[in-house]
Amino acid sequence: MLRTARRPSRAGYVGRRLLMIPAGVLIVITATFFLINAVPSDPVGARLGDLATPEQIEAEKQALGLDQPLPLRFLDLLGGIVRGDLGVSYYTGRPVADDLFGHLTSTLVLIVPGFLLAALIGIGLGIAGAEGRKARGIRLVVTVLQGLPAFVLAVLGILLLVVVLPLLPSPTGQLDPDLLAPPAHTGAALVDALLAGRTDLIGNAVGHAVLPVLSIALIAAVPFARITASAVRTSLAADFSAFDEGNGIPRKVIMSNALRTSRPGIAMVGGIVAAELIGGSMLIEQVFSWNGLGQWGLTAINQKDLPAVQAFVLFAAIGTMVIYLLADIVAVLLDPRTGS
Amino acid sequence: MRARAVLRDPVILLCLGYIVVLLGWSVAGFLPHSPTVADPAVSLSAPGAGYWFGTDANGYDLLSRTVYAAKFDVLTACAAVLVAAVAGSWAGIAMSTDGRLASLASRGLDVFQAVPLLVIAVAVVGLVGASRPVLVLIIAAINVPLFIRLVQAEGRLVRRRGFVTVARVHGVPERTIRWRHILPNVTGVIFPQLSLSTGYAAASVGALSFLGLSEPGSASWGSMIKDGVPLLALGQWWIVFFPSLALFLLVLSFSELSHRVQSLVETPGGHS
Repeated sequence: MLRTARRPSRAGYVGRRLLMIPAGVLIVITATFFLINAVPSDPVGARLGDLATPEQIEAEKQALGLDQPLPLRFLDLLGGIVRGDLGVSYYTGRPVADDLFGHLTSTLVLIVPGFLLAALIGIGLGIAGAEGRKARGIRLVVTVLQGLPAFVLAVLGILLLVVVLPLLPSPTGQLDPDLLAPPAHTGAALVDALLAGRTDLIGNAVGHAVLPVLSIALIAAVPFARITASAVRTSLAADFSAFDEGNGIPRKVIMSNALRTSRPGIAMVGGIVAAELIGGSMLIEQVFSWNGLGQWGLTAINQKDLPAVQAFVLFAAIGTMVIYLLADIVAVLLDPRTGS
Repeated sequence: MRARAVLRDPVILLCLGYIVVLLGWSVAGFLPHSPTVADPAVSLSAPGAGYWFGTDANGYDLLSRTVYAAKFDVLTACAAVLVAAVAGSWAGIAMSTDGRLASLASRGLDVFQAVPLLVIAVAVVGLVGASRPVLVLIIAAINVPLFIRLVQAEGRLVRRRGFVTVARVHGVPERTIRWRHILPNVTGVIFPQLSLSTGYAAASVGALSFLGLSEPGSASWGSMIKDGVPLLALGQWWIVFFPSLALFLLVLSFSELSHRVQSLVETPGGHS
């Protein structure tokens, strides 16, 4: 019997990818645990200082559970995760899961708009830089942005928009310090102000968010611009574009077709960019003293607060995995060569 | 390589000049003021005569300190990229075979590339304590997958060429094939990447030291910027400006150098 070439099934692919999540999460948990707990660090020393007696050190080790062998501590962590318990911070004494989610909204306030703006700017720059008279200039802009480390761009942004042209409020924190802060529900001043109905604070909170969001957007726009430009250029050079052009199809339509064929590639790059933002926002948060997830993680790392560091790395790793997965699925769904 | 064309390209000369002058000056010394001894009497002076780039809160001369820090930043980045390039070339050539082990290693690398490297780098350096060897190793680890992939892909192409088959038919051992036949033919893809990666590695050194993860007591652009950020709002812009500019120009120089040399090598007669 003659078999016709079957298009790869989308549902089957998505299902197979989703089935891989539990195994992936288990690998990530194992790797994170052993990485964080096996590298030589001295959490007890960091807590007690240099003057502690050996008895004090031993007592502290017991109190923190660090006297237990690694495999036992690992089983503890696994059991805890099943119950939604990631351990207790050495310093705040609160469950690290609470601390983590208490800082998450602040970071999302920066990276979600930053990501969307980056996609918009990047794809725009990519289309403009693919061909035509302006392409050279636009490619120069992209090259310059690519050479700028995120924190350097943020610092130069402060220099321009706060110091030279005083358009924005002082770049520290999420609100001016002399304003009465709204009750902290999410930790993000903008969201808390909305929840508390404090419309008077919204302007100030948005003003504080402009520069960090813009810094993230401009840096994250670079990969979008590069993939869009190269994918559009490839499509325009393909036979189907030449055929359309020969048939007198308007330039705009050809361009929009070229962009359509570029969508899977753009989705993949979007995944990479989004995944980098989870941890990468750390640098921007540090510049603006934003007190989001990244800064929380950095503080935990400097204090050698192992449960908190572990939760932070786990969150970033699982977040990265889920984002890559979503990007893969979106790319398959957008790819006209796969059928449903 | 078209050495003449490379040396005639003004952009290449500019980039190369910046890197060589900055690093040479940093290593040779002859700085206008001491980069390691502060003069508190002149702290926070704006740029002007005597202190062209101004001074910081401790009274360090920023011109001297910015040039001096190049030694730490650039040499750490170079060391990390060299380690990554050597390890990556070795692994990439080994993984260019069709063996089971090679494909398993390739899968493992896929997993390694799907982890949040910045977060893990910061966590490891922070927990272990920042020192130059730790920074070199961790930045090498960030850069190594790229070199492996590059060399692996190129190595696969080289393996299909006639002279490798001829060597194999003549019973030349695999080790010799790797060293004598494959390695010399993949260096062409390694060199432009070396330059590009060094620029980004310098940005990584900057980012880590900006987060406070730098060898204690060493001068680096990242830690200078970190110290200067709180003073920005007071209008003392020069403390962050000059180290930022130095780092930006360095990353840009390395990446432009890489792109220009690559396009000169690829297009006969050079480009416009």
